[in-house]
Amino acid sequence: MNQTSLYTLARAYFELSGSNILEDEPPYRLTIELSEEADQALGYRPFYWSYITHMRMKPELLKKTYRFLDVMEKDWPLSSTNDVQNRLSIAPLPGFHQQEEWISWGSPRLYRMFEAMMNHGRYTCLYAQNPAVGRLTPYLFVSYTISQLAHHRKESIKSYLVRLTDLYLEPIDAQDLFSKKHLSPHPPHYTSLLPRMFHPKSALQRSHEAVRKMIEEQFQDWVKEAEAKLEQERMRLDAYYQALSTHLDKKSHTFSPVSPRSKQKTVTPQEAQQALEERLKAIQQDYVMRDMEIKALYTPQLIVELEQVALLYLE
Amino acid sequence: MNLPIHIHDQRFDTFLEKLEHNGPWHTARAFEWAYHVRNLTLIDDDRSLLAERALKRFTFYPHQLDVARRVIFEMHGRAILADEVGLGKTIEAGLILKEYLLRRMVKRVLILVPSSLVLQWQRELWQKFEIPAMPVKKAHTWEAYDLLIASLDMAKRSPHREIVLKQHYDLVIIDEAHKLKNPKTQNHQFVQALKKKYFLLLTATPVQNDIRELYRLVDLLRPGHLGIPDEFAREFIVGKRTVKNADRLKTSLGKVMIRNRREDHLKTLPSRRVITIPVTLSREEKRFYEAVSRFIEREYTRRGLSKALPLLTLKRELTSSRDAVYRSLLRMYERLPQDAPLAAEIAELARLGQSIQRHSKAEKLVDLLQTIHDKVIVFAEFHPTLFSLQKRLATSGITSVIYRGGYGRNKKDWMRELFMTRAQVMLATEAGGEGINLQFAHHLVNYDLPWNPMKLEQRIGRIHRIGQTQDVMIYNFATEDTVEMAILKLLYEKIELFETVIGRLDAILERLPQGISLERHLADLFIRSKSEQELRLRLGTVVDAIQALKKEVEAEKRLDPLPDDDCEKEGIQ
Repeated sequence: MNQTSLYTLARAYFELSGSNILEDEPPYRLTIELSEEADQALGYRPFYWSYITHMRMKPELLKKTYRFLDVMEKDWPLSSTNDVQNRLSIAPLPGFHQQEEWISWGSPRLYRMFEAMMNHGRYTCLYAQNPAVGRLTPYLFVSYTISQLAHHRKESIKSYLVRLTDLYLEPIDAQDLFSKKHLSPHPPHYTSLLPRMFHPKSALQRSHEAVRKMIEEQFQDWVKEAEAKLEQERMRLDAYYQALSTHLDKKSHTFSPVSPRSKQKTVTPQEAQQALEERLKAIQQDYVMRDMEIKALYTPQLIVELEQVALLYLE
Repeated sequence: MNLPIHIHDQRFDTFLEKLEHNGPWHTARAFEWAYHVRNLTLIDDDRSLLAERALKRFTFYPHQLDVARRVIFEMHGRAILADEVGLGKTIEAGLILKEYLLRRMVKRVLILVPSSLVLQWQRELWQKFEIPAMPVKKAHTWEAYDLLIASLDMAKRSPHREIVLKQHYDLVIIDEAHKLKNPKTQNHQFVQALKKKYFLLLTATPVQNDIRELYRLVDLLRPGHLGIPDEFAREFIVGKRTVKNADRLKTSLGKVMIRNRREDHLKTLPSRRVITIPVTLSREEKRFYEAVSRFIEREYTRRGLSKALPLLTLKRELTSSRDAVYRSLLRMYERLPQDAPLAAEIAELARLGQSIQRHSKAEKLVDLLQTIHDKVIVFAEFHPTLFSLQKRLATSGITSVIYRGGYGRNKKDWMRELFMTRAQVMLATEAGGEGINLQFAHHLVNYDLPWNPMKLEQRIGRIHRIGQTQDVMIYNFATEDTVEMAILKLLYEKIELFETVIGRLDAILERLPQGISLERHLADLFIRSKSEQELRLRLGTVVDAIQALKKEVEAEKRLDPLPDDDCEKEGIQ
């Protein structure tokens, strides 16, 4: 998580969202006039924005200073540590706006940025530049997040390239693709583009199949293990509630319904029976709820989410 | 084998739409960054805490991080956090919550705490963990927000109850969970009926009177973990606080409960320095003190024990301040018929009080405060004392805020904030100060001494706790030739109250037979002792008794084969 500095990330976000960088002191500080897009994503002021749009007014954009907390404390350029301490201890509560803000790897604001960055980089269409041969082939690029969910969450990314001329599929490291190929939004001159023989939908089916197959090969054991764990937990629960009910049942049979202590209040056998049934019902109810919780906690699931799609023309 | 695979590809429709219109496409750079960010936020590490790296505003103690790791990776998010007071259970719960949020494993969270701590929880979660939790004030909040803090007492009542029980929560945290120990109570039934996936119970005292209380907490958390009640009783219970098969019970409990002990983790806490400030009464004050004492003594023997409570209070007030005494006298006066001889006497006492021009104790306090150029917390037991002090301090230009029971949570919060940012002095009662954290202050004044050592502990615990970075100065005001001096010299100093590690004391006093209140015993002793010598003698027996208990606790600790395990100590021995 720590290879990229918060400063770099934030700067990338503000540049991408078209915000105006007013002051800049890497890697400690950024002062920004937020663009409309960034303001809407980070500002938490939906009422303001709906008002401005309805009244067709010129919005007054937020100006903010972000300071970054991933730099080691001793490296801070501020005058005194006391100053830093003060600012850290008096963070405003959520909903209060402040000119300055400290961003750490746990900040909700940072996660808003991440979300915005992801939502603004999902779909694209790009062309390879300067091809050796004067011909580019269309590919569908898809990238999935695979989440293994049980009592833990574990995620991995899987990306594929599917050739749209013959549905040939290959797994690909997206990082590799970005760094090696020079891609541009415009087709290069004097180059012919091969037509798409298959609909992107078919290509998507192809990659779905591939990801399914990959999961079935790799996560078989994990699922088995998780299911065993679930079964074990449910068995404990079953045994416990079973024991509780039988115990209650037995108790009601062995003791006479009228115990010597409750002399004034005589309990008829029917009443005792009714009380017992109610207790049993309560136990049953409790069992159903706890069973649901156990299932929610331990049931293994493999969630595959389509994150990014691109139409690429490559050599 | 069919694997439970679910593919979500709704985003492809957007892609097709864009394809049809040939755009607008996202740029190559944005696309690349999006991929990069996705990679960066990928949860692919199931060994270490993300929160540890993510939170830089606050330094955590190793035992806190350890608790979070164990709860998440070993206990799968269902645990009793039973650290002793002052080790930061709130911090541990916050860490666990943050970790689950960062891992995107929880979304809907409910935190149930005592009403007075709602805002403190909110503030700590935000300032230390950047978790924006919403305190519930109105019923509509329940469904409008994902992260909620509410008081248990409110949540269990209609109309809230019905709404809450309908929700599915990913994580439920309950502070002061010992309130759930009785399965017949509404508290217990309500919590049992909550739908929850991960579940944390926080309590410093998982066993108060009976080992069965612990069983019930575990039963709430992981039904069946300790068998059915009869099995549990047969296997493990000998008496209320004694168990058999201790090792097996320990192992079993270790899977659902974590208990850290102060002695093991708080060695680094800065020391306390105690300074006694003797106060000499002026002639008028002395006269007033003696007159009221005589009055109390006489009335006490006349009334007998049953109606003595107001007198006991009066006796305690006498060492606090004149204004506190007035309040009680006034109350007594109002209850008497107009022409009762007692009424005349009370009026006479009040007149005596009026003749006092200078309050020696208050003057001493002003002198002291003027030499300390730092935040000071002044504790007193009675509200009138606080009010008169605030007035006195104001005339000397010392800023102060009052913090007492009876203030609403918003007001309390505001007062704390004012103390932190503006005022030099906080005037507080220990009832008001329960649970608040004031580590940023280093000076504490006991303007009067409570007759219950636990209360004194509470007071000191406000500033002498985890997070305190400097030595703590404790100033005890004691008026010479009064019960106050006696209590300080003959009781508190004898039992080494100020030197004892925080928390040892509760383990000791817990052992007093139930129903015996040290406070009342002392008051009785002070009023009834005829002479100085008798008083010394009788206080001596109290000291002996407490020291005997102390030895008992220490001896048991030595016998314990695994002294600082995660198990509940009291219960095991």
